Amino acid sequence: MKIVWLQDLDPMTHPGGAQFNDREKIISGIRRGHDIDIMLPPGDDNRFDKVDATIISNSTAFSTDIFKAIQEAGPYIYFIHDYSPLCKVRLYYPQQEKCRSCYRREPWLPVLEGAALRIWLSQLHKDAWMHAMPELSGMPYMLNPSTIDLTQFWDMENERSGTIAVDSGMGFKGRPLFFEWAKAHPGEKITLVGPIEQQGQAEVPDNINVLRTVHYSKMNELYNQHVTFLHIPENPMPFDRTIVEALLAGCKVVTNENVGAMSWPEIASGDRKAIIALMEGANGEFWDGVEGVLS
Amino acid sequence: MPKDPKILWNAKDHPEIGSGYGIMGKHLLPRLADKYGKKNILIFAPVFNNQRIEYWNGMKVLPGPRQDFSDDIACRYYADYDCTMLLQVGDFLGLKALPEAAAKDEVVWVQWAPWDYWYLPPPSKALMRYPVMIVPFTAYGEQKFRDLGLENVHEKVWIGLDLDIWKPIPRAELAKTMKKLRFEEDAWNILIVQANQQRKYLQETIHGIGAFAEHNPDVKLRIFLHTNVDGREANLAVDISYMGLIDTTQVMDQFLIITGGVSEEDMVEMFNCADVVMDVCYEGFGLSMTQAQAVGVPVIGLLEGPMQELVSYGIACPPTHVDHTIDFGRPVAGADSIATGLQSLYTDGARKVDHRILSEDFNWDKIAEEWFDVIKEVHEMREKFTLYIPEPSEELKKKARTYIEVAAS
Repeated sequence: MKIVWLQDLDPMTHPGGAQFNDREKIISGIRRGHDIDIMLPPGDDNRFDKVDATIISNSTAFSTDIFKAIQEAGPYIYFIHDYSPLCKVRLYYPQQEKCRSCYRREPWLPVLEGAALRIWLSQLHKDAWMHAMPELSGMPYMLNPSTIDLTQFWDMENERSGTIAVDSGMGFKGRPLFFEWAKAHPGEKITLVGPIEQQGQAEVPDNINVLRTVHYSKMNELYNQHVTFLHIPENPMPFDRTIVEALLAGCKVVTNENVGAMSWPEIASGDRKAIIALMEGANGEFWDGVEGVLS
Repeated sequence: MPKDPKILWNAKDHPEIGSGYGIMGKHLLPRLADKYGKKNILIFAPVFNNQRIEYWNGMKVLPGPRQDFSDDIACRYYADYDCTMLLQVGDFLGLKALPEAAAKDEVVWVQWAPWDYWYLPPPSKALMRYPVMIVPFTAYGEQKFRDLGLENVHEKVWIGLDLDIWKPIPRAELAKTMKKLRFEEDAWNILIVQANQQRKYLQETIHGIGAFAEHNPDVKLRIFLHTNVDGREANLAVDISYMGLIDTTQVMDQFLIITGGVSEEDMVEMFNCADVVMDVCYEGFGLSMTQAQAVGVPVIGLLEGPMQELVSYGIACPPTHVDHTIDFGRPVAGADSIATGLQSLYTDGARKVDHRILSEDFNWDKIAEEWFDVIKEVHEMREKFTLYIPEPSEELKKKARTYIEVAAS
């Protein structure tokens, strides 16, 4: 099939979890014989009626004209990575009562309803969307986990100590609760990978050692130096690849019910073989689902 | 948009006052109340207001009886009542506290604004950047605001008409009103409904009528002046006398002008009795022009300004000079221009258009729908651009503290 793949950032070159996930899917799709054309912003609204289908991935930078053209042209799949376009604060979806009557429902519900298939990253991710758009609950959908590079993460059987957290200094990854946990465990040495968003005058607890940036290729080594991976967000995380990375690297994971990855039984079990099987099957299942609705 | 927008209406005049601003409130506010709930519409109209909270059609009317814009009081009410939008009506160049509050993002300020300036000094242009949205009274005004380079200009929203009452009435049913106005069937009956203020150039209008009368001695003229004759800037009786129009001119009972004792229904009858309505000045809108159109009466107006957009049945008089003695200047049609306009209408008539075509767009229900769209747009814009990130729900916070431990195996 000829397919247009909409993405804000070039998935073949840009870093980031969503981009990696898309890259894996696109390569897998090409191997299955699909002709996939990546469309970056601003897009071209004349393309959509010349292809068999459109897959809408991360697409915050495209105009409403593009979406209108997609809706008019033909079948499209909505591959949802976070809470856009449901929520303006796409990474901080608060899932409040007022979200059920958000102004964004009116323009975007028809776009979501019109998709031939909606793809979420986890059951938790889907449930969070249903909170504000329950109309989608009876419609064709698929759950497909975010894939990681399985060659990068394994147990090196090192000596380990302390706790590691990744991006927990960011508000949407649960910075306040992370600081609270650190203060409640003063004897625990915590390595924080990623920046700290400084809001207000909150002090960074003394037992947190901040490594602002670590190259992705070095992460396995870092996981393997720690006993525990800590991840306790307050907003509902669609998936959270770091949970899978840490488990594959042999860490014990301390998390909570706001992490989408944990709604996959294979991941919640901690069984690395099951996790690997889930990851390995994800791309194939993605295309099975897409081809199924488009055939 | 927020489930409960709370709008503070700030016009100088109370909705029960028969002025343009009063009429705007009278017809729009109940429709806003129907849409958003009476408790979510607050009225602050300081002129002739009593020093106590009152209610009008279920909406709270807030006190503050100064005779100026009282925008400092409006800002205080905005904060005290936790409003989401302040809808200020009228000319906004006299405002001081409101622009300051808007600059600090303390007030979401929307201005329903006339354009009746010939030139603007730079500080005035700067002031116009503060409202989140300027909603001009007219397309003419909209273009002028945009020409300033402002980016906060919405498409115009006209002032409406109550089309249930503003419609033609057969002259035969109006004998009493005709008599009250001293209009006659075999006369050319001229109606002027305007405040006696310098910017309305009533003296020029009277002189123009006088010139027409002099040129057409055989035309039986009757003139009715609905205004305060002895105003702050001019005593029109002097001009009426000078132009030899004393015997042909009747003025409204001055007591009723001061006390506001003329109902809108009375005005409809007055307009229906006229053969022509005159409004020859640079208007921000010109309600008497649309009122005349609705009852099928032609208008003599000013070529410059919104007349061409609002009037399809009438004659436009070109301005002859600019009056620089008045704030921001005004183009003015001199007496000769007005006399020529009258002559043209009297001699050749004007193409008459079905009044229903002219009036539909002024339907208050339609105007209200346009305002609902504006209000929605303003609230969505605020929601869209706010930097505020809402807290996760209590349920999510509870789930966040339910820790799960998973050991890799």
